Amino acid sequence: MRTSRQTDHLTLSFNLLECRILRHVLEQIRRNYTCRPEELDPRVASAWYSTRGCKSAGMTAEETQEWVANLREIKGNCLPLLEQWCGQLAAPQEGHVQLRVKLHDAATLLTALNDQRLLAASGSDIGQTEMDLHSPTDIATLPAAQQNALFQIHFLALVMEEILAQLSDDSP
Amino acid sequence: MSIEALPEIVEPTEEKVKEAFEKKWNVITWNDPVNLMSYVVFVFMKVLAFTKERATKHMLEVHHQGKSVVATETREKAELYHQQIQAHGLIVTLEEQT
Repeated sequence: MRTSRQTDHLTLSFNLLECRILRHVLEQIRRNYTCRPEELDPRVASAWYSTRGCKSAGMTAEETQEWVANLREIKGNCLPLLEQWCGQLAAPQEGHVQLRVKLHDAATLLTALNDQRLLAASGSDIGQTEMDLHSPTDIATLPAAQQNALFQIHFLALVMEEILAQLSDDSP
Repeated sequence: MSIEALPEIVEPTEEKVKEAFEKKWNVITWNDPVNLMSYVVFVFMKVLAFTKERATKHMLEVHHQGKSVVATETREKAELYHQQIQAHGLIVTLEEQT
């Protein structure tokens, strides 16, 4: 993977394997963003739509419901961009694929990739112990589902770090 | 409606005004094993308009102490931060300032 920054956008270049993984991830995020919280795996719903903060704030059930609906709307607003990026990743050229992301949309991509990391972790019971495993030998002792989830979590971390490095000099 | 009934209506309104403008709420971000440290810094800079140095200080507080009070605001603004920070995937709670 390579990343470069132009005046108003980032260019992310992927090989075909990276492209296939990222496209699969973005399509999965897109599908899950269209789901109501009660339609998601409860572990994923509790990561994305946790109401812990609502309880600590003393919100009523009605206020909490409205709050969750607003949160879902925020995620739903990302769908057109996710569709656009999936489309870009569907057209490989000469062994690599380029994803163009406008600078003001980069935060949306980061949050979507982060949501997928949270989804993978919560859906496969990945906690601190598993996240601390780094050697292939140690990771190989985990069940296959956790190994796959960890692979995805670390791959997406790499993509996020590349994007964040390009944005690191930006002030709010 | 009798005039005597008016103070009963005004009193809870004053209470609500006090709640909205005088009581302060802490916005607390909690540690978790998945979110990247660099991403947490990015979120603090974006949502709370922190400088990189301030965002990094709070991120390290979350990392080492398990949580950090990232803002103390009126209820309305604290709720806004609560929603925006959680929309970015971080764990966040609100707590009335004592």
